[in-house]
Amino acid sequence: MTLLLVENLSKSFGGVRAVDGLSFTVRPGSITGLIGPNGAGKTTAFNLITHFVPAESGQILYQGEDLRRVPAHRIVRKGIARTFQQIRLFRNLTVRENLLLACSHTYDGWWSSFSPVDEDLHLERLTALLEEVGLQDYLDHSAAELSYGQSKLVEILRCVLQDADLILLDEPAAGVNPTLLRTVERLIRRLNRDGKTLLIIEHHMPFLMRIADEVVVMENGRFLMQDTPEKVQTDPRVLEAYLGA
Amino acid sequence: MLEYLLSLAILMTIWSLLTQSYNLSFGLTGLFNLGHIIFYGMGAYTAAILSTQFGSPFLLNLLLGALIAGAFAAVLGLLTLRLSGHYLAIATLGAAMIAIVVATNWISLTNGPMGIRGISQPSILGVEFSSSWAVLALYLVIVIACQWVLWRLFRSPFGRLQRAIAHDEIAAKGLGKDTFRSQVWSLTLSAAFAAVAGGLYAHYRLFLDPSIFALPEIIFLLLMLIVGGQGSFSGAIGGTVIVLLLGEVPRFVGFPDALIGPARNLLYAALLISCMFFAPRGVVWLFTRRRASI
Ligand SMILES: Nc1ncnc2c1ncn2[C@@H]1O[C@H](COP(=O)(O)OP(=O)(O)OP(=O)(O)O)[C@@H](O)[C@H]1O
Ligand SMILES: [Mg+2]
Repeated sequence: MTLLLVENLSKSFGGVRAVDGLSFTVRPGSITGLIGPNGAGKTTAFNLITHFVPAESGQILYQGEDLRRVPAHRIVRKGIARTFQQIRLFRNLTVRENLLLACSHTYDGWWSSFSPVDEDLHLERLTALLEEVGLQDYLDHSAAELSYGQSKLVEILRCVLQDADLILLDEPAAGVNPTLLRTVERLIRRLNRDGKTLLIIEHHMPFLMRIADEVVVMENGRFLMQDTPEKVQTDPRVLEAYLGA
Repeated sequence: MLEYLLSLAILMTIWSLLTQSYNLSFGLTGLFNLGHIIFYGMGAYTAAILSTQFGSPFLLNLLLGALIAGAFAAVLGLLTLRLSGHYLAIATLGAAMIAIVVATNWISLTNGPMGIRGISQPSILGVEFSSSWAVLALYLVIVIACQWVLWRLFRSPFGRLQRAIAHDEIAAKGLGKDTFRSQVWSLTLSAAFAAVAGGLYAHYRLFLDPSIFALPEIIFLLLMLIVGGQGSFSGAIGGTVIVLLLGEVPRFVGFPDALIGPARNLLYAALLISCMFFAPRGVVWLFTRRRASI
């Protein structure tokens, strides 16, 4: 059973083979980690899957459908949401507006995009989510006022609101203090319990090894191995990749 | 004196709509639209030509002008908005320059530099609005209606999305938004409302020549938006009023006629510089920053 199948995927930037014949799978309902040294091509792999960067060759099958023909803004409707390594909140908007933008159907119909009814429709859900992560007091604050960790949380909440089945998180733990990190972990586990599949890029190994069911390892754009966290942690090839980098 | 004040009020009414329409594409969505004046001019020429050659009614002229300018903007947007922002700037600026040439040389249609005379006064269902008071009242009703629609646009999910796109187009795409389509719509609607303002102008002045496309007008518009605060709804109206009033000051302090123009430009330059220093987000923002405002 696979939800996402990446096969022989490649992409170069100038002379750099950022992703080089990459293949891996994501099982439905799993939390899959994606690790590898800096510059291994993890973020590029995300960008290829979500079509922010066009792949040169290879296949990306999501529920059997080839994503390479789907433009970036349509990926969400296929059921995949993502965060970015560099936080991309709309700092000129409030937390409420950031979250409303993520609610699906806010820009689906011609009429609904011009009537403000969507606010009431989604407000209950927004406040419940903000409470879950302890940000209930920030609903009407500007996104620019959030701390780094809080911003990351709101970015994840935006993913949640898109009703995606597969959520791609690019380093959700980086730069997040231990208290907030527990919140992030709790949220991820809850989403997974509710049936969401997560693919998570992370350098914070204790965090990732705690939550992941499976880990994919990349090195120099290539696939190195895919296995359980226990096996990956003790594999000599992985140690070498990290130490050699 | 009263006539003068009335004409100033009518111009302010028209320009407040033009500035607000510009605020939609340039201020809210952040589109690098530098030729906005072309949509205003298209609306004015549509009204002038329809009125003088076909005797078609005032409201229909406004509507057709909006449709034509909107369609033209949609084509410009579809052609350039997939590329980087500079292409839109060049395309709109270039279109404005071409418009001057066309309006000057297509004499059978526009009567060239001699301009179009005899545009009908505004009238609705046979009721003529011939006195300045009547025109002002009518224009206020039309412009307030348009401003209300624009206000709804600014406050709607559509407007929210435009502000998001202005800040970070990639992030908006990441949320599944068709940013290209949204930008094309913003430019189209922005052009349509500018054309309504142009139609109002033609039916008020009753005369139209190619100078309506003149580029300094664009700088005028930019000034109004910067003074009011880019993307701020109330700012666009405030900016229009401030800039137009300031432009009348030299008349009152007894400057000789020859100096009024240069004195005006000097005042505008001073206004622009002081805004940049003291109110980089617009004058209106100075008064509303304590409250959440748009
Ligand atoms: N848009 C781009 N243009 C040019 N080179 C790029 C681009 N994006 C990525 N690269 C290069 O591709 C390689 C892989 O980068 P990528 O960001 O995917 O690595 P990563 O595994 O996410 O690293 P990190 O852990 O540091 O985030 C790097 O050498 C990077 O410099
Ligand atoms: Mg990365």
